[in-house]
Amino acid sequence: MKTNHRFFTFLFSFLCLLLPSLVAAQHITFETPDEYKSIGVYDAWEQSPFRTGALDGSHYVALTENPDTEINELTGTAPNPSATVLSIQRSRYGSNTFGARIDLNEPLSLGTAKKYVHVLLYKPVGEEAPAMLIGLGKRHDWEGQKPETQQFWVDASVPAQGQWNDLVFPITTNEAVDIYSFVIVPDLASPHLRTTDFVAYIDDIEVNDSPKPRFQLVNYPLNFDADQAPTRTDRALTKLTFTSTGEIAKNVTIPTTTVYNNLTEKTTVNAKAGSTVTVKMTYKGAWMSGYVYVDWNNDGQFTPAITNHQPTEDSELVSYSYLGGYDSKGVSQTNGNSVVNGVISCPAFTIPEGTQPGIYRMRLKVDWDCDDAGGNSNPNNLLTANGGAVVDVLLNVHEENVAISANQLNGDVLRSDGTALSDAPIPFGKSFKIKMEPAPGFTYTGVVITHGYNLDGPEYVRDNHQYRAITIPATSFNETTNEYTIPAAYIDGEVRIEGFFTPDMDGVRAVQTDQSNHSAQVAQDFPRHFTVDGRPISPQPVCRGVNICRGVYISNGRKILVK
Amino acid sequence: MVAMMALCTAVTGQIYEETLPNPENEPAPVHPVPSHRQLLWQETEFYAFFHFGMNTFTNAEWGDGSEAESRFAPTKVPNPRQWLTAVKAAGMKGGIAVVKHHDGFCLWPTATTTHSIVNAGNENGRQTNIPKDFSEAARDLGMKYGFYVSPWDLNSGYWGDGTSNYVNKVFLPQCLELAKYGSDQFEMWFDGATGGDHAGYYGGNRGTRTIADASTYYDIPNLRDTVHAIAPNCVIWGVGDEARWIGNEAGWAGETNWSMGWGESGNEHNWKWRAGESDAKATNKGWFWHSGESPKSASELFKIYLETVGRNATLILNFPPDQSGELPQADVTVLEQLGTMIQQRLGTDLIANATSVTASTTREAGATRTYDVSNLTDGDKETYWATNDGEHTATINVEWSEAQTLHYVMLMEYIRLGQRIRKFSIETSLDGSSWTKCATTTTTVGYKRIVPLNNSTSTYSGIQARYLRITIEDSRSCPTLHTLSVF
Repeated sequence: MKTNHRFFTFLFSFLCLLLPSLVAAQHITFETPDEYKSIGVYDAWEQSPFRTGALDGSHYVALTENPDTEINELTGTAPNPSATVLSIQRSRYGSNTFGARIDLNEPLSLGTAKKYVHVLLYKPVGEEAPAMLIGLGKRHDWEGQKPETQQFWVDASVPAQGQWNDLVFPITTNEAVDIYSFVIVPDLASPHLRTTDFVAYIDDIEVNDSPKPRFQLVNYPLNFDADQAPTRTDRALTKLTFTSTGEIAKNVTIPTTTVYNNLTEKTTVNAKAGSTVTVKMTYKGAWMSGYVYVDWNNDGQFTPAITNHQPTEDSELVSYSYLGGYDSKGVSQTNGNSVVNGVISCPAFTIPEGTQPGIYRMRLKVDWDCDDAGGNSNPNNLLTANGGAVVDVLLNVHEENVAISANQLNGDVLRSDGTALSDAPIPFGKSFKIKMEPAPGFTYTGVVITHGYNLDGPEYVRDNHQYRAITIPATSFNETTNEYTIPAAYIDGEVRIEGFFTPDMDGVRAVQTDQSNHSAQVAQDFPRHFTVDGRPISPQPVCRGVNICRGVYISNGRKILVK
Repeated sequence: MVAMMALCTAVTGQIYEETLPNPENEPAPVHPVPSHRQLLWQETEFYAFFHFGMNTFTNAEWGDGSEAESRFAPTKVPNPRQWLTAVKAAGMKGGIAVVKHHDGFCLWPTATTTHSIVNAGNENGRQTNIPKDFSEAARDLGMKYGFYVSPWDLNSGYWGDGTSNYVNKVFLPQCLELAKYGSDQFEMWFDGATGGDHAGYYGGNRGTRTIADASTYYDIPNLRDTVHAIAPNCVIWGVGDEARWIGNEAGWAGETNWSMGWGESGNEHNWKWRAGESDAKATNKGWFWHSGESPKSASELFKIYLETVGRNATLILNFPPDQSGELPQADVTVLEQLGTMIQQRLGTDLIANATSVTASTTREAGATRTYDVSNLTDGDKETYWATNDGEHTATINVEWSEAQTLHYVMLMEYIRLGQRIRKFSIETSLDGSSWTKCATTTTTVGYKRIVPLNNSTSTYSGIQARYLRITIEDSRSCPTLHTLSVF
């Protein structure tokens, strides 16, 4: 998509036109009062003053003018042009689940399907907390049940402040459940340190089948098409080299078939807070310069801040070889030809002390005298015309050690010395050996290793991969010691391990078949046939203790290890 | 609960100014806070798990539902009173009895299936009614009680068949039957196991089955609502989302342990109160009784106690009845030893002998209540010491007239207003000027924190001190503590 500007762009979808009438019935715009039954406030906290009657919630919700109908100058549309919206005064006396309650005209029945509730939410600047949707309802087949039973709680990531966001809440219920009310919690945080209330705005509640926001912010915009092919053959970025204090230098080969390369899924640069990072760009060509950006606040954009020819402390343009006659050290440059012996050397920059460990988007750009992370859009100096390039990678700001822990039933996942994983943190970036210890009567089938950051949150934040979950089957473990060495690459943040244990089946360690007479569940005490590859192990129905030779078998396409 | 309105309009951005009177000057809650039933549940602290059922007679841990009902044939009528009497001797305040495990065999006369004690293999089995006998014994003994009922049912042909028949015809009716055995139940335990690669009988269909989402399949929100309607103080464990599994079955919680979030340490930033429960085996084989098993020693169990109850978790310690329907004598003996050990080590509060207990700062009193440091030692869980708003650090000093042998410091936050303390330290001194810091990780407190001053939960040795200093180094808001004990 071509945008030609460095601001966020709104992508509109029109799925609502395709939705069935049921969904249309669950579309509340707050333009007319007949779209809903009633509005009010709700607090899940038992002792809430809004439940005890100490405070009157009717003062805290109202229909008001839309606080932001501004038309985006480039798209020519407003994210929310609605005249009237619902306002909710976030009371400092409510709990973290205080929100606006909207009673539906007709109960919403989801059946067995997953649906998505879209809500437009506007929060003032400075209010950083997730939002939540609570569903109130009841089973339609239970007489006397109150329709205020909490049916689900779904939280969303922190909405951008000072602008309309389309939040999407996936919801499911038992098929016998009807939803009577939605509660929109604008501020899922404890208000105990608040001294004043604030007002948030809600609009355009829609239930549909689309998990995608009706509009969304484009993260890390470009000023040219993301799949733009190079226009010049005499210029190309071919390699990036990263060095940082205490880390092994990383060389990354850059594909030259497109001007932009998003390498965030396969390239992560490691560095500790306080360390110095240097980037070198191997570039075929001349009269171009190098620029390095880091999205320190994870807001989906790179915001330069230059004072006295140098980046300020919070600038997200952290290094450049030429900008307005200077490099990022404030050293005067005679011209913008930064290519020396085929390499653009960007001045070293420091990861600020106190930077929170986590994943950050890093952008490397070859361009001409331009601080715009999306690329020079001056018609006389377009990045694409000048043979520039943009590459995105991830920056992992880490500590010396990382936390490791395990969760499992019917056994333990331990350190190789038999102690608990969470006893102490382990060194970042070093392989680590674990050991399975099944409870009596159980064996193990493997583990899932989840590693990275934000493990309780969304897997992607601003399109940046926060963590990964890797399944390690039992066959990857040492059969004698029950040990497995976690590769160093997985020790890249917090590490959580979930062990899987299953009842031991008289020596059959891992079995999965889809026909009962091929089952190897021979530990049970009822007679059955047991076959492997259709060949009976015993001509008669057998019970526990059937003698199967040690080895690996394939049954119904699945591996069976008999130890 | 909710203030409703039909339609009104307001000026955009206008704030309705309202102040809630606070004549008692109580600190604002730090959310989330526990519900009343969660508070009562947490106060149970230490209770027993009794795994008894079909597996007791088949030497299995997980049956597959095909076991003939006749296999259930106890040599005596099971005796829950003996179970509870034994665990009470260890200081436990209640127990959870397994009344249906994954094999689906019901230990009460249920209308939902014939796979129950009604068709047991002998008269002792047919006279078995664990929910009835267990609840009656608990009430007689002044103990709390609850039931474990497995949602996963490997016997039922309905389970995971793609319809809602299992939930509507089997599971929910079973839960309602069990709820009616007592409105004073304190916990219902729903195991999270949900199928996967474990083949089952499933009404004779045999094979493996799975379900996509346990919460919606079992309709947990409405199960929770209905159980609460019958038993208002009954916490629904596991998928019920009112108490969390601590993340291991080895009998320990994280030294940092928030009552929000998941796993061994919880998460300070999670939005929901979900305190941890540690389930652990007191014997050396399985959850169910197996021939030749023996209990862990009282010292080993005391270590588990310190690392769970002493770390802001509850402890549910498993003692499996044998085929006679009673706890083996070896278990009874070790329970008595454990009770004696807990009483000896944590039964005499030396704070009662202190010549002074002072705090560096104290919250301004309200109209009828104070937040004085004396509230820490008055034995009243409803009074507490607190600092003023904005004061997130403080020091509490304890002094005796002569040196004492100190082993443990116990702190309890007033969690009705939320869990607050992030970090604290403990120091001791003989002369009041030279201090020795306890090196144990002292991060969270929560409902209860017991800190061994010798930095070991395995060994019992005291240190000599005449002075004790507790420094709260960081807190989410003004700290609130209702009890300080020294043993």
